[in-house]
Amino acid sequence: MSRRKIWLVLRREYLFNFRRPSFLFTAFGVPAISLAAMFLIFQFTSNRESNLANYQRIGYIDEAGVVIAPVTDPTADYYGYQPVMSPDLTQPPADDQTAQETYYSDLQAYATQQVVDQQLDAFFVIGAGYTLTGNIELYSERNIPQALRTNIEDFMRFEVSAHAPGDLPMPVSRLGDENFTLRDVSSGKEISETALVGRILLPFIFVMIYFMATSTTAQFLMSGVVEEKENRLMEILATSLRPIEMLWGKLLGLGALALTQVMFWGVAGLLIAALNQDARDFVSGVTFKATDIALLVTLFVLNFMVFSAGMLGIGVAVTAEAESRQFAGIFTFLGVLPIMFLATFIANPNGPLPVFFMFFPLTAATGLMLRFAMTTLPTWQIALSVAIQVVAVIGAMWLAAKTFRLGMLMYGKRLTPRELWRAIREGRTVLTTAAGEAVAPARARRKGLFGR
Amino acid sequence: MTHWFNVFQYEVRRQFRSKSYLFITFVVPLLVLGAFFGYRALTAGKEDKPSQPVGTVNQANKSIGYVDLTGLFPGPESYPAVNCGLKTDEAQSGANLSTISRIAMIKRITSPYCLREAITAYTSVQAGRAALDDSTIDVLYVIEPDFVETGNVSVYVKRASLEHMDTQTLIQDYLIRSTLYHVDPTAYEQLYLRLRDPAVVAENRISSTGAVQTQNENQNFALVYGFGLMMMLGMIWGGGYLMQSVVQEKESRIIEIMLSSVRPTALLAGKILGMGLLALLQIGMLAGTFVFILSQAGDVFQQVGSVDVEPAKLALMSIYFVLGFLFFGGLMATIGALSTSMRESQNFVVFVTLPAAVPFFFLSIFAEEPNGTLPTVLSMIPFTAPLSMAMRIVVEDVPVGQLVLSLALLTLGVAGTIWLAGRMFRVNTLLAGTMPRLRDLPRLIVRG
Repeated sequence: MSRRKIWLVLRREYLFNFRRPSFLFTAFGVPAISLAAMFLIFQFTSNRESNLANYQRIGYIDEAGVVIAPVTDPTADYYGYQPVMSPDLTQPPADDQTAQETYYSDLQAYATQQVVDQQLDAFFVIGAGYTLTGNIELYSERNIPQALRTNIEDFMRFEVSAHAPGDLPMPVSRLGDENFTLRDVSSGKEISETALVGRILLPFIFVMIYFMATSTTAQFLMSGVVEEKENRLMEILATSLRPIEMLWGKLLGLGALALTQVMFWGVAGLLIAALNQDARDFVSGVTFKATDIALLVTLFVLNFMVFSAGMLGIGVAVTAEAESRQFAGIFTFLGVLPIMFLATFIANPNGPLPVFFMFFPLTAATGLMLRFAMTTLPTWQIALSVAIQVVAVIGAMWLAAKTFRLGMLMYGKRLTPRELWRAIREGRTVLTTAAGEAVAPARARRKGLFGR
Repeated sequence: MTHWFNVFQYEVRRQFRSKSYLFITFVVPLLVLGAFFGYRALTAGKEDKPSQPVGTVNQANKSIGYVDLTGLFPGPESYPAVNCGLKTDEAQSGANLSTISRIAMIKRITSPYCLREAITAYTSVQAGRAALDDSTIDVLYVIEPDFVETGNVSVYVKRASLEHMDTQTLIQDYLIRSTLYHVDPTAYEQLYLRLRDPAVVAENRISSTGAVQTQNENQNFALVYGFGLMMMLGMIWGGGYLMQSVVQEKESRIIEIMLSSVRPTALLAGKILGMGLLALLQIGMLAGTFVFILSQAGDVFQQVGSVDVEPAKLALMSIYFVLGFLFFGGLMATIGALSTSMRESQNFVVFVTLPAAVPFFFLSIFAEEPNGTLPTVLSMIPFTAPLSMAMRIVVEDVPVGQLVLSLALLTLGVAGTIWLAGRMFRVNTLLAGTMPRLRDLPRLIVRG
């Protein structure tokens, strides 16, 4: 292996891909656009859930007889809720069951008409079984914001509290409406809500960046090999480079490219955090120890190696770009699984699925990182997961080197698993002819063809 | 227009031999069905066990510590011991329990004493924090001295995470039980139950005619998501096949031989019809699977419930799918005709698929307010109309006027893109070895 030749390949791969518009677009354009879109959609939807401008006139029908206390506090969110009263209907005596039912259904029809006529924005019915079930039916013409549901809940809490006997040690309206402040046990310092959200989201963002950097560069690695095979550049390269030099040069060059990408996003994140107070709060819940950073870097390198070795193998084994995409798709799909199952990580980081992801080579890095962020992991588990990845990297690299030697000059014909298997068993002696057939040495041929 | 049928036949036959097409069309639905029935069989066994409401009231999977700085909430052990389970006669009568016994039972099993295994009281904040440090407890609540006025409670955790969230309802429950301990059972029932959970709000939508429809947000979401995704994938796949077949033939120079005996327009027509049929079959299989699962879903996914989608709506959606396919197929064929290699064409596909996916970004708005301004506008623009309308139709009735307008606009769009593809699909473009430049495009379209 000549270090100078590896360096040449490395530099060429790095610079060539870095200058590609399509690389720049996938590496920086796509994430920037999706981040902006996510931000806009988030702003839009959160405003919809909190904006009560269209819900000023709220009526209620109380079939359970719960509402007894008038709301006198004008600052209360539920101030101004009015009982629905029709001038044409009078409430029958309480002991007449059927008349009561008719009265309430007429009243509800009246209220519905009021909503249609824009006299009311919404109304809710406190059903006769409210005491046991808590059921409340809310009627409106439009989508109901979350804020309205919360206000109705507060209103009901206020009314239920009014039924409490006077000799209790404290006002019960406080119960169920506590102000919880999250604090860190070692420092006693408050953890703000933004910090908590950041604590949950940051690892996810990290994993996303990891995944993006790895999968985009690995795909460029693959399509580079396919491209060189398609335009027969590989033949010329093979005259002056050993396959293993080309392999390492490509791998390191694109690895450096992936690292550039991660660093770019890291620096961008730091800049945003430096300029924006909210962003600083967002990251304040996370404390990085030197060992954590070392682990993150190790995981990134391992993750990149596994993916690249796989993609390289695919790139060299197939004959056309379109074909390589199909195989690469399966690979990427497996890698993205932990992100797709993020909800299971949040719900129970020690569940069977997250644990499986942590020990499955293709998902180990992301699975480990997500679990690491959500729960306290025993050291042996981290060590085992890293060990599995190291073994996987060694295996994948070995296999990629084999495939590369065998497939780099194979045109017009896909490398079949059987040929690959034969090449692996025969070691370095396999020859590749220009017609693309793997020619096993005489001894093996005898065994392979007639020895069965 | 000779030979278009031959092209059509050829495309259908070729695609039917492609493994990836067969996989998506036939194997994926089978796999999905298998997973669904497997999951149903798995959960069906579990439901047979009798549920135990009493067990869940006092159950916790985390241990909670608290420090009371107000002096109002003594620890669970300080309350007199009671039977926290159901008595035999209560368990036997079940729902037929008389009101008096029910009230007494609720009061008894929700005594603060019954939470003694989940909740531990500590006398000082230091003691509590020490217990949290050595993992005796998972979370520590400190009820601050000004709790009665402000409601302030500090939650101490080892690391910021959401793990403490499910313990919050339990400590709230404990505070309610403790405060209401001396209330007589009759008043206790309503106060306890409804302070724990003051309102279970169900949403109902009133239409402009005064008709009332119960809203099931989960169901709407599932419908909009499912049909939106299928529509989008179906159109993109169909268009993708079309583009791929054009580029492949250009790459392998087969097109040069073909053009000696087939007119470009016949080639285009045959390809579009063939791929359209294949895409329709594909989406039909997927949609059939989805509708079937939805109709059975009630047993498995209670929150979603069983859904039946009206056949008329399905028919309308297939019209939109066909038009959408023609629209995007026309654009994809144009890209295919212009580009010289697969890689090149992939770069341009984004400009077609990205606008098509826009309605998908606003999924929640489509599910909550299908007839709102944004969905209405999106369902008029030809680029976003097929997807938007499919997402609206499944959850609500769309006014006929809007349907007519949107279909008319989409048909115009289809005519436009097919015309464009026809202009591009000409001998000199298809045979050219290089990609035409941007400034050459108007000339190609106008003069050709």
